[in-house]
Amino acid sequence: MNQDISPFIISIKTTAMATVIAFVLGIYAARFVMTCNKRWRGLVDAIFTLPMVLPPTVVGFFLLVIFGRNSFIGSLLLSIGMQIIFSWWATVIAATVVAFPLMYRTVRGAFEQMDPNIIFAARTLGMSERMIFWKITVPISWAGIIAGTVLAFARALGEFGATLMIAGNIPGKTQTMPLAIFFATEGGDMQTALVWVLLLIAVSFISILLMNYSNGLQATFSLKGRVR
Amino acid sequence: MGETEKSTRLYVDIVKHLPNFKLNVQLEVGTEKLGLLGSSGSGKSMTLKCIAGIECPDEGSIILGDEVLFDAKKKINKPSRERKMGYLFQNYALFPHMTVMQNIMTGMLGLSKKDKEIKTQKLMEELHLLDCKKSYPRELSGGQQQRVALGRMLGSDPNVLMFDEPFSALDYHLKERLQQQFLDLLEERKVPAVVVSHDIDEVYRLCDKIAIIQDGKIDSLGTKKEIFEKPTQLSAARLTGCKNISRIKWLKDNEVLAIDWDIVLKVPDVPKSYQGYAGIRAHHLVLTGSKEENAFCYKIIKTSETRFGCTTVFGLKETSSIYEGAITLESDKTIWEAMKDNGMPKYIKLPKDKIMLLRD
Repeated sequence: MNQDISPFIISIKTTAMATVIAFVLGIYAARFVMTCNKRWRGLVDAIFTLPMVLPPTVVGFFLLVIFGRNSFIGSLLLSIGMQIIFSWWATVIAATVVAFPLMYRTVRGAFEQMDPNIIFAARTLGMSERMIFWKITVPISWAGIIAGTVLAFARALGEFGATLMIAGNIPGKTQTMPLAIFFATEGGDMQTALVWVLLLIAVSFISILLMNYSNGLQATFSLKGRVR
Repeated sequence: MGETEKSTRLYVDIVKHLPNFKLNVQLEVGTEKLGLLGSSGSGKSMTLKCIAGIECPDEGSIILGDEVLFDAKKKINKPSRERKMGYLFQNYALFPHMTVMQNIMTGMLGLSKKDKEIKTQKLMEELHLLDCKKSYPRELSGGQQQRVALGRMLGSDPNVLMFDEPFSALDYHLKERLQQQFLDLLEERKVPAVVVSHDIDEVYRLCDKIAIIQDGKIDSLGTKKEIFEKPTQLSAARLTGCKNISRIKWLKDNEVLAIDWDIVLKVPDVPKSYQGYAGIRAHHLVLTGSKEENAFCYKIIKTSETRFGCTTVFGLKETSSIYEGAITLESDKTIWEAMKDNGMPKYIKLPKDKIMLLRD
């Protein structure tokens, strides 16, 4: 059996890149919403969460509108010689958009779980908000940040609908493992599909194991100061 | 060092509207220790948070020495980190991911690494934390955690020290010893200190002056002697542990009818504006065999023993019950037992000079 392994390579590259972007954006978004005026917080949170609950086709449609040839961003990028649609970057964008809400929500949950007195104490000690965020909030929420990263990774890995719409199914270029499974099955090549299916299960399983491990960390990292 | 010789005064005059009540507090603290005594929900912690800049008052001003920290009219509101207020939280709020040493160092901003280490070493010595300097807060006992929080606070050289229920999370047997250490530490640092508590004994032991706060207002403010021995407010009498209080009606200049106890009492000379209530502390009551001034017949309703003493509830009228018209006496266990063996005296006396006349 002479198998083309490009879907595996593309999937891993895409997922890794999407996870890194979602990681950074998710942490900043969580911080932004936490410091946001109460009146706007609900609205901003809804916008950030939306990609998680919308059907992937709706996300794909919007991405097409945003990055398509006739859009502002699309034509701007085109003028410097970059075409997003049907390129590898399209798979990254699709995966990032659907993975971002998972990262954002998990991290925000971790931030909110913190004892507010810890932040107040840091302020009375003279620390700046920036310092508090990086030296206090992020380290204390680290287990939550890891959990969010694993969830975002798993979601990015499984992305199918939006990817198909904006990146297409170009073998060796934009064909990720979920796309390969779909088109192999459709073409009746169950054996190839099974290989990708098993590989996907293996990677997902490992990420869940990782997450359970990070939950174990969270327990030992308990913030209840008085508990011995 | 010159640093510790600051003699700044803290003026607080603030109003804050809260969902259930209005906080309206006026305070002035010099280098003495002020105790804020109040029941839970009376606004005492909120007052501290306003001073520290954690919460923002709606009106008024907060001034430390000649520095304006908050002024609603002039729209001045210094952020918490610029106020240099030491705040010891009830749950200590230690940084769980840092060791004892790292926790203490966090407040020392702008010092060189070497200076930080010297200062931290000194504080850990003073607070007996050297043995656990590499431990994390979750590995420490409650008393150790409190000392770490204290060290972290002192490390930032605060201009005011504030304590929110500092001993409420500690075991009873630890409290007294720690309170003594705590006093020594405060003694060395001549800065205003405010201790918030609902524990009368704690406030009495730690503070020079006491402010009674009720429903968001300071009811009484004075030295602890004034507040404990001669309270003039009903709330002050209650919060300082006065168990026997009755409504009164003035009959003559020195005579009142205690409505709840249904007895006529001779009382000390005070302006009649103090009328409203009369109170007497449980350990000021005397049992006597002879019919003296302010001595009355009684029946015993209930006796209960505490560790060293005995609490007895007396009824002064036929219909008295434990809930109504009763009067409580606290006495030493040995005295009480001796008295019981020799036959109980016939009368209970409310010594005239111990009666407190109170305003609502």
